[in-house]
Amino acid sequence: MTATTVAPGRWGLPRLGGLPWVTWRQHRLAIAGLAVVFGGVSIFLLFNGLAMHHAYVKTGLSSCGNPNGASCQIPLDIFSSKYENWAQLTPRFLAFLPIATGIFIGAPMVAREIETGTFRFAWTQGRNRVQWITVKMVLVGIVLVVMSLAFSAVFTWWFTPWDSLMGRMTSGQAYETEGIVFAARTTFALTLGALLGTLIRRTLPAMAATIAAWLAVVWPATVYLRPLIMKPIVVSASTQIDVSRTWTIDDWYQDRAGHRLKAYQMDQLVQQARQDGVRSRKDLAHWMTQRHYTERISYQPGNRFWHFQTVEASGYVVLTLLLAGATIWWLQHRTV
Amino acid sequence: MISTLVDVPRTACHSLTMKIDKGSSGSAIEFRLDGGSGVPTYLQLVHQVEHALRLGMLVPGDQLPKVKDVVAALAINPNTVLKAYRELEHKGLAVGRPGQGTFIDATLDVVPVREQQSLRRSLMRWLTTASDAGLDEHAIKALFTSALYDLSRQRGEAAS
Amino acid sequence: MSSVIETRGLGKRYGRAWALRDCSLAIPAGRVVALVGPNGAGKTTLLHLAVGLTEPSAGDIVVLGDIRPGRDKALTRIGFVAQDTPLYPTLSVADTMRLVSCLSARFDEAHARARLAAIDIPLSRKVGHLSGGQRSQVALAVALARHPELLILDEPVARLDPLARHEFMAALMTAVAEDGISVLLSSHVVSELERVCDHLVVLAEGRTQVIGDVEDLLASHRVLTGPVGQAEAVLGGAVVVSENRTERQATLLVRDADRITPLPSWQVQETNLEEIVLSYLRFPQASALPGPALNRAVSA
Repeated sequence: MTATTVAPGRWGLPRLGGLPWVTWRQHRLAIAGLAVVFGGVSIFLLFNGLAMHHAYVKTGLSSCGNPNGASCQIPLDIFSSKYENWAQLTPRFLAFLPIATGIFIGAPMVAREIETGTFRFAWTQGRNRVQWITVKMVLVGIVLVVMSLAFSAVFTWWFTPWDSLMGRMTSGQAYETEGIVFAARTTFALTLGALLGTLIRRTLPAMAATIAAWLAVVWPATVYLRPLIMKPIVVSASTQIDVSRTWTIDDWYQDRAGHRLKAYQMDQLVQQARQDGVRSRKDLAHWMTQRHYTERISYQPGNRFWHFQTVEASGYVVLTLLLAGATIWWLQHRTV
Repeated sequence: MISTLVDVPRTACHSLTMKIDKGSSGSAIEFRLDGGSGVPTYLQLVHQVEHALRLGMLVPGDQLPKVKDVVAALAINPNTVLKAYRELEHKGLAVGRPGQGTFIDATLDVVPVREQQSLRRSLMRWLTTASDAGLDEHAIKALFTSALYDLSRQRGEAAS
Repeated sequence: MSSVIETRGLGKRYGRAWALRDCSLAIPAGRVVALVGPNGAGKTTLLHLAVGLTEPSAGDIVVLGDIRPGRDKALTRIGFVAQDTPLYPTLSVADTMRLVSCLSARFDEAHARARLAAIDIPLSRKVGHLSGGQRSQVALAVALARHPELLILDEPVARLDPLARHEFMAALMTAVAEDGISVLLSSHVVSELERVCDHLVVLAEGRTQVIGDVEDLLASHRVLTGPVGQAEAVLGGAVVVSENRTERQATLLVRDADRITPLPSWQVQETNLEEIVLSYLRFPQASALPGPALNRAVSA
């Protein structure tokens, strides 16, 4: 008797067989849970987004020109008062969604089998453990990529007004959830969880380790590595750039010779300026210029978004592949 | 062999240990095992068949239970059942027909009741003599077992 | 193929401790083989090595002639029921069957369904809600539905009540009768193995102590009881496995019983498998291992 029947299943679809069915059956709850989360958030973004887009047009913000300009002040105030909180908090929360993948799907993948002893059943039926884990990681990975890319698209649509206002490059805002970095981080979390589950062999400790490891990689990468992707453009502050749509990395004063002023030097100067009666930022700028100090800004322009996304996502994809390979190797050679 | 001859008087007094059930398995007898008797399993099966033959419950042409059925009921190794059936074939009591099963092929001489009664009387006389000589039940059993062993060895040597 | 499992100097170490050491044996095909020994003797280790769940630290092992365990070829032809029958508790019986059919090259679903229907196990029930006996039956049914040549069971009846034990063994023996599969089952309870197994391997402290046909073992071992003074004389060429001496009487369990010198005051009795195994386990220096025959089998 052959293993898989070709008879149609309940809805007339061809019956899934082999390791794909095993993968589905064992992880369907976790995948469904994630789909519910993604779906639920998407529905919320849909409703909120429709209202937000409507408000964006209605307040006149869409047609008032440069958001920093005077004509946009009032519309911006109205719009922000209602939607700024959403715009600030939601992306920060969503940036951590990939960890959920690692915890709830990646970590238990191997750890659960070893912890409960079911590996003695799963790996002795005719398919060896390498085939088993490879198919699982590939199929689950594909499903997750599709889900997260779709989600990123929904988010991008939702965030359109704010992208026009703030640009997409800013860390901790749209950047982590739009584009392809979100999906890449998701697969990274999955394989990270799988490897830690294989090493630690207990589900709960593996979950905790996955969170810690994910943060330990993603946070420094965001803070220290991302700026290195491309050298930021340095201009003087007086240049009329559309600063609002860029990712401002740094701004500082430098003296006539071009040396950057250190913090204590800045403090001294600010004190001096105060004694001279300077009160506002604009006055300070004027006062500094008089003394031949120029303000500099370094930034990444918004049109570099896709370059950054591609480089960063590639980094996570490479990590994903390495982790997946390590998982397979360890499972084959070291796991008893 | 020893326990067969000891069995006969016992079962003559007590109820039969076998069921005559031609219905469910299609065979005339069902086996049972006495785990604590020390008698090898295959021999127990052989004895039960011989017992049934002696009492006339099995006649030539009757089919012995299928190996599969015996195994399913008693949870014993199929080779044990095969060995028992081979032993019965060796003794000429049964014959195996390929694809069909094992069938009874002969009868065992049924000892007439009158002769059994006469044997029983002489046995009682001997037992009384032994008991008067001072042997207790265990001593009598040991003596009897040892003599029976010698007899079967003699018979075995005579046969070969 | 004359042996289903052959090992030569097989050893497995966990950390510093050797769970199995210098194990050389050949498990014959077409038999029901019992692997007995106290807890911690290395039975589970040996079985896990045979199904490729773990790798040897020393020596080697081949299955079904010349295949290394864990290879696909071996996995498809060997069935395994691990200790405490690990199944997925949240899967229904039907889903468990589907899982096995998806992982196996061949799966006789009708066969498994018939078997489970005959013992009234509902297919929709979750495995975690079944009794221990029912779980064992499910594990056995799915293992047999793969039509393996060799079925390995690790203490399959250890936790079962007597009725469940009987039903499990009956199902297993029926499968042996119908399909002629080879069976290797481990147990630390010997008394019930005698009517099921026809070949015995005793493991003690990670080493093989006894290997042989049950019939041969029963035929070659006897218990001698008699006056202690004549204990040496009665032995003749036989080998003492275990002995118990008081001031007056000696009780000896001997091997190669056909070599004893019959003396009148000595009683010679047959023994049973449990007594034989217990005697060997109590006296670890005794062993009953086939010699040249084994080497021939392993090197072939």
